[in-house]
Amino acid sequence: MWNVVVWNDPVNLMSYVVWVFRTLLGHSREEATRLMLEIHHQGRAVVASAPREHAELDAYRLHHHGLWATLEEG
Amino acid sequence: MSRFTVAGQKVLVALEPEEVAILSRLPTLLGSVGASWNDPAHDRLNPEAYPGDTVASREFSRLTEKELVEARSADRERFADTLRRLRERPVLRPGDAAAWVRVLGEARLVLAARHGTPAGGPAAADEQPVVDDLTTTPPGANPELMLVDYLGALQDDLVGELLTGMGEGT
Repeated sequence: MWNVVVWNDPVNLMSYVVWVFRTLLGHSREEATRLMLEIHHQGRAVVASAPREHAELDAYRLHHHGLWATLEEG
Repeated sequence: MSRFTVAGQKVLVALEPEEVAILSRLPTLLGSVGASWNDPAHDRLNPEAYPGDTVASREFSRLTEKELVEARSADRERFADTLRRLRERPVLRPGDAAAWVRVLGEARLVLAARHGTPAGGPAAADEQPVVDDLTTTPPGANPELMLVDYLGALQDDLVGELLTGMGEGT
């Protein structure tokens, strides 16, 4: 499995990041908010885990939304 | 007062003519990304997918770059089209609203990157404290950063309405 990691950045709004996680990754409001806060305070969070091809698709879609997403083997 | 109001599947828009004039410049701004070889905005919008693995990152870019350029171009065209028709039809359909949210966010990233705002990402992860969100600028700040603030306020309004439409407030 591959982890999709989103990193903190000083520009994207917290509300926007939550909206992206809700609409793009299908996270609940609580999970999306938890991940956003983890990124804000810890600098990064694993927002999804999937086979490599699926994880790359998630990273591509997150890049389309302006989030700093990377991939790492889990 | 919010400039956006959710109404069923649509979002009603109430922008002043001056605001429409400002927003009409965004597609050109975004279309300029990557026009120069050392544009920091290009790097910010296209982060390395595999930090430390140049080969894998290049392959990821090769596979996704064309589609990403096309998707962003489609967002800009949709944004510009709905903006032009706003006086006659001040409404965003769901796909329009999502494109607006992305264009507003992309414009903020481009302006901030070109102004020299730290990009964040893996290189900044060891820096403490984690940089706070760029949500407010001091009075008299650089006009481009004030625009970043303004676009952020618009984006926050719109996202708040979209989340309300999903059955949850912000």
